[in-house]
Amino acid sequence: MEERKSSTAPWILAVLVGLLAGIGGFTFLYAEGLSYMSDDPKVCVNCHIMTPQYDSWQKASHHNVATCVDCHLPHGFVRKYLAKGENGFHHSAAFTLQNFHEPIMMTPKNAAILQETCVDCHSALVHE
Amino acid sequence: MKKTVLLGIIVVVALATAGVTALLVNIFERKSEARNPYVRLTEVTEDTTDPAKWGVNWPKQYGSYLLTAQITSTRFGGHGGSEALPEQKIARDPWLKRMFLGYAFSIDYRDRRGHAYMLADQEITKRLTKPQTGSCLHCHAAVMPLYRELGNGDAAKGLAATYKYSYQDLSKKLHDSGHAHPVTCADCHDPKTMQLRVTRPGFTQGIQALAASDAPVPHLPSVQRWREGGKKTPYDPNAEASRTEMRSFVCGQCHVEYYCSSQMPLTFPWGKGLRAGDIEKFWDATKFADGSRFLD
Repeated sequence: MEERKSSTAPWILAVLVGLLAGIGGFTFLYAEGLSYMSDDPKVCVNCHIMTPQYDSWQKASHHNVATCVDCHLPHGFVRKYLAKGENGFHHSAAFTLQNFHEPIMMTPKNAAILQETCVDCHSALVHE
Repeated sequence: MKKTVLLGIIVVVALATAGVTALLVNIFERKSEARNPYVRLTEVTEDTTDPAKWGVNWPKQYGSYLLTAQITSTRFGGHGGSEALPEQKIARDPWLKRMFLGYAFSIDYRDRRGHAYMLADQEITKRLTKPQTGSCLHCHAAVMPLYRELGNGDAAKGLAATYKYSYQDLSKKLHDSGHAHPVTCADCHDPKTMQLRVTRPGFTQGIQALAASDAPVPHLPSVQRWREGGKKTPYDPNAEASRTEMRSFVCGQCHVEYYCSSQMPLTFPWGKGLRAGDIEKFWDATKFADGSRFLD
């Protein structure tokens, strides 16, 4: 009897792990998780709170020369993906828990990144 | 022991599955929210001059308008200090008062305040102790409904009638009409589509005169295109101007050099070009209705 009891538990575990993997995989696809690896501006507007910013970029002076990541992420490869990951985590947590200040305000770290990218493109004019 | 470990793992995985499902539901809720970016709670029309009504639909933009009531100053001036009204420039720099003697600026010339105060400050300035014309409301009040009323639907005709009114008389008409507000949302934004557009007849007449002239306007590509197109109808900024140009035009409805006195309607002197010499030539060629020479 003891053997039969312990032989059903692994099956229950197997089913549950399968459920976890399935729901987890579906959630990843439903939330378009892979899209965040790309630089397409439409990805940023997956979160509808970004709609006004996306709309104003459509009509902005920099529309033809810069997308979201060109200004808001560092230009170096490693630093770019590190910043993507860090910001992505914070954005996901905040948007899920709805515990952030509105209107959205930029963090000092991201403001420093933004200043750096401005200077990078306009360096011929503003080099120190 | 092995059984309890197994049971423990089952509980943890079950909780993790519940957590992931909660996340999935949360994401689903956010995507549903995205389908309705904002609800148009109240209708706004061409006659909605009260910015608070626009603010019901667009609270962030209304909030930034309210910020213009904040006390701010730079080292070049502004509303610094604790007084209710900004400082008098002519008290701080007496040479200004001497320079403006004979002109109402020598009576009252204060540092600037934000846009929210533009009508109130015009109504209390001591410059009104001298006769001033109703034309002055063109740039300090949400005056378009009043122009349409005075012009029987035609705002340009309405403007053309206002120079004969005293400031006080036209101001009373404005207050009685219920539209005593500073320049606000409807003066630059189409109430149906939020698109930028110009409303002020003074600007439209000025830019039409500029377009019809030969003065070079390399910074206004739509005027150049209109000129090349044969000039069949007068240049209409709302139809022709690009969005980039419109962002300057809406401010250019009021941030201009102008004639605004009681001898003739409000005029923006752009008919010969935009440089100081062009403006001088324009005024030299202007005569009052009685044929006398133009002077301000």
